[in-house]
Amino acid sequence: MSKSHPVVTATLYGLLTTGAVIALLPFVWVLFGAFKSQAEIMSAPGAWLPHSFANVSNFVTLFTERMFGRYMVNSLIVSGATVVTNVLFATMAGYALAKLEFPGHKLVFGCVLAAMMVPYIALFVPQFFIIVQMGLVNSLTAVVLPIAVMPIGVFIMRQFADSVPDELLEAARLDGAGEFVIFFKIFLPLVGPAIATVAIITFLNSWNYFLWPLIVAQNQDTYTLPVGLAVASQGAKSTDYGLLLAGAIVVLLPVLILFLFLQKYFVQGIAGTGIK
Amino acid sequence: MKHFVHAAALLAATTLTTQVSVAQNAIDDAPAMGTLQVWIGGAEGEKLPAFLADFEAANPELDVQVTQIPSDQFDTKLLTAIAAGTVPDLVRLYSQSQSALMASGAFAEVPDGFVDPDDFFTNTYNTNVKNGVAYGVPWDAYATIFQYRKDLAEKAGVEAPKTWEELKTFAAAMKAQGVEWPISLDVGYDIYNAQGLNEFVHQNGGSFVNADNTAWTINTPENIAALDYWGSLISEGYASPDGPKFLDTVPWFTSGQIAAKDNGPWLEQWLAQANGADWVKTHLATAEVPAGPAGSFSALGSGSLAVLKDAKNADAAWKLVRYLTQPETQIAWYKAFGSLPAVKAAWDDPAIASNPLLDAERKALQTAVDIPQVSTWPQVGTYLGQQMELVARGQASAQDVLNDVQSFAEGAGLGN
Repeated sequence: MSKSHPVVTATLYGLLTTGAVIALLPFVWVLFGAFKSQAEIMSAPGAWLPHSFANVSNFVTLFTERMFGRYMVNSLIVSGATVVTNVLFATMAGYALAKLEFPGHKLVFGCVLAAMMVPYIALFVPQFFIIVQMGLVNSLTAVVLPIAVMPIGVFIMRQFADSVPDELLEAARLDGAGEFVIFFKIFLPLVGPAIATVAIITFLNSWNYFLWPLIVAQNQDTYTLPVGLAVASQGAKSTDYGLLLAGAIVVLLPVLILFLFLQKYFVQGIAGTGIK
Repeated sequence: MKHFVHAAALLAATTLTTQVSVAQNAIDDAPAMGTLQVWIGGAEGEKLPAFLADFEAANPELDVQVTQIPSDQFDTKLLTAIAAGTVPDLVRLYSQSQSALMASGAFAEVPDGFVDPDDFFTNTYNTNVKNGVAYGVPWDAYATIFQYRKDLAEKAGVEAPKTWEELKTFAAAMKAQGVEWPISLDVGYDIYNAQGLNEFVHQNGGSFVNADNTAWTINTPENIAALDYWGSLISEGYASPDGPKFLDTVPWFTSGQIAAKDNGPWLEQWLAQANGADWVKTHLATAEVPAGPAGSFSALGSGSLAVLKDAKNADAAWKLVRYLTQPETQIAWYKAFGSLPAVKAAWDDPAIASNPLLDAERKALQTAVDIPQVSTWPQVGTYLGQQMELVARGQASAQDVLNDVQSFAEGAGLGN
């Protein structure tokens, strides 16, 4: 890559910085709003700075009066379980679809692609019927089950698995290694970035999951954070915006931390397959 | 003898059957028992558990479990539960979507003689009635009222307008005093716009549906004239087509950028939150909405309690409904939460009777009009609200817009 002219570089940096600031402004407003009382927000909704950054009453209320601790634990359980099941099963499925010849494997992969194209809104009622028949209503198991294996995870793993050289696997087979040994000892260490990508995507999907946990829950003990945030911010005759904004910060924090640590894989995931 | 035995058996069976059906309909005074599942959208669900302490003390064998549901998703969740057979015992319904939900056939009839319809504001009670049968009992009620800056009105030398003509006189006087937009209209261009237009339509003797809810009557001359009048408030410079929106109502009202708005009684609470109760006393006044040629009709809003047909504990559910609709309980709930009573007798309590800002509310509730009680109103109302923007911006005539919405509504049907 040739070296850019300093003016070009400076202009690019200037444009990018401006874009970043514009993109961040709403988040800054949300952050500042989390420290405002309802009266502050009602009287001057457009104001930026709160009267005092020491006013953490919204955060305290969420955890002491609005069950946010419970919702947080539920969300962590759901997201944790979803990440584990997706990584495990999507990796296995991706390996099988890319590296094993079996009758109908193209059809199976076609079904995975088709599943990605079905809008979720068309699925949740029949899914709920199934959960009811299984006797799992009002459990976190029921929240996890429909997203335990996401088609997008299988798709990403299959694309990654394609890039693993067949020669490595063949050599292991010649040495007498079984399929499980090859999978765990040879294949898995080679697809670390893909596993990270699948983990991030499934974590984000399950963390922001709203409608399904709401439908499954029969009482508030099984609400996850997004559902809990929706009820916690309902004030008398108006939304309690201070609670809503503080809750949004609480919901956002784990995602932000995850992104800061794993942004390389995150970008790869967005890019599609992340190969090379 | 054989005939006698048959007749006796038949009589006994008939008596037994009658007793059984009476037992099904009569809700006795014995304490309720078991578990009672209640689903409520909105903030009421957060306040209700503590509020029910007395009820639970009177029913020690009963465990009331209140689940708070996000308002926007309440209907989706309830309809899914109805489809899957996982319903709670008791729900709170909003008049805005009540008709569509009740069309599902999932609600139990209100037992004969359980309540006296005359105890409630008529229109509020009627939101629960389908084909002559009541499926719910009103819990709270509100009507929009004309709320205005009385200090600015005094300065301008005008009183609360009583007619459409006076509304424009009032607005002109306010404008002369430097108020930028004397009248505030809904400008979200959504279903609430349509609900607001419903007021004007009735004030002009019109209606969006015919008397028995069997046909859409959106593009009648009365309705076109009503939309024309609504649009003229904008075209003549008395109202802005762009604001206030969302959270801006309170600051615009406080600063005097707007001076009047048809709104629910919560505006008083919003203003008190932002500016304090003293500010409200010196700056806010209320009146019935200005009358059109056919009279003063405002928009009705209400919440009702309904028991599901498949409720596991219908007996306890009805007992809780009975408790919540007692006048003294209604007043206690008003004090605890601010919801105005649906039971007329509760309005005589000093807590309400001594607040002059609620005088207009009480009058308005006698005549307030509900949205069309047809299942497809959410779609039709949303579309109508969107199309009203064309009138607000002078891009289409009221007639063209309502002709278009009439076609849309006929395509959507009534869904009843």
